[in-house]
Amino acid sequence: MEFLESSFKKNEEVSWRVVDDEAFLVSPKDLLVYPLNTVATRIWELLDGRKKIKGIIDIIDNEFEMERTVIEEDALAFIKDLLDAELIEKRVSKKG
Amino acid sequence: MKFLKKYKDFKGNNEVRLEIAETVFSIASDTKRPPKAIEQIKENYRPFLTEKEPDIHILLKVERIARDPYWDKNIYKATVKDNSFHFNYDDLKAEGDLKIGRVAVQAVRGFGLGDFLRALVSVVLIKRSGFLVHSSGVVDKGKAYLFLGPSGSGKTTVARLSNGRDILNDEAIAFTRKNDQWQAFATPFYGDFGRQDSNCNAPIEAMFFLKKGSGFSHRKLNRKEAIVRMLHQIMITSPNLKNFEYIFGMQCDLFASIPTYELEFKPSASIWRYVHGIS
Repeated sequence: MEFLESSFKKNEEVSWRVVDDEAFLVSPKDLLVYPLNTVATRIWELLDGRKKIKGIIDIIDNEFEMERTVIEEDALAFIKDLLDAELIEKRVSKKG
Repeated sequence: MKFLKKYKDFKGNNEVRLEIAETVFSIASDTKRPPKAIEQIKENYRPFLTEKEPDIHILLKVERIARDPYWDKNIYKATVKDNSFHFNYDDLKAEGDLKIGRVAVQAVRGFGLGDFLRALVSVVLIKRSGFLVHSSGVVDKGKAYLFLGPSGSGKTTVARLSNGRDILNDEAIAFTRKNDQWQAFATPFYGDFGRQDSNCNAPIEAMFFLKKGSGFSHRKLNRKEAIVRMLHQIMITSPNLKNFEYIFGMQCDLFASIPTYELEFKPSASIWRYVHGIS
């Protein structure tokens, strides 16, 4: 799947802060506040523009005691939500 | 800042001084006789009147009728950048520079001055390590107990059950952080309770998010729950990313030291026994 091979990076204009292992994101577009749970916070931290989604799912699989299929499903849905809210952007690889 | 420049050295008449959360505001008008808006402030904000030296001078230019170029009817706009701000309401226009402590307000017969003051206090508090919160509050044995929630959740009801204790307010309370301690200050921006008897303040002991019920029950909120709930209750005149970052930082600090609960209560004087039992 192409999506699993893609990398995403945080929108640099998003303001975020971790409180007791859980992050709050503030959208620069509409100032909506997005509170994240612990797993989502870890995924958010890992979205550095270099790691592929597949690699991020591997890390979550190692760090949290959850079924791999559940992690994959939840992570993909979460990343799509972040994209829709313009909180992350796809990293375009420079070729040639 | 043309408007402010024009009036910044104007002294004004009919001066009234108010102290709100340790900031002194002087309000004067360009009229010989005191305009109704200043008379109302003297009457309704009586516990906040002071003779102290002002930090911020507000000059009220009273217009008899709305006219251009100062008006933009039906526009509500507030912009705050660093120390300067512009407000534009239906019948009021204001410009200010908090660095020099000067604010010029132009309003048709002074209408909207109270609402403007509330917006101004929210801006000033953010500059002074604090914020204005949609909350009611009562001082008991020198400690402030604050009750938050949307309209109808019981904030005014709790103020009415204060039974002789000092009431900080039933609608808007100033929070400030000073010497590593969070303090709650009374404001004159009251709600349905309809009056404010004293300009008091006290260190914050506990906070409660209210829910009306048929009995008493409570649940301690974790920091994240408290932050999310309180975000909706902070009065921000000009929402922007910088303000949100500031508010987050302050809230993290606040909830690290102040216990916060969800409180279901029935309107009865025994609420105080219950609150003391929790906190």
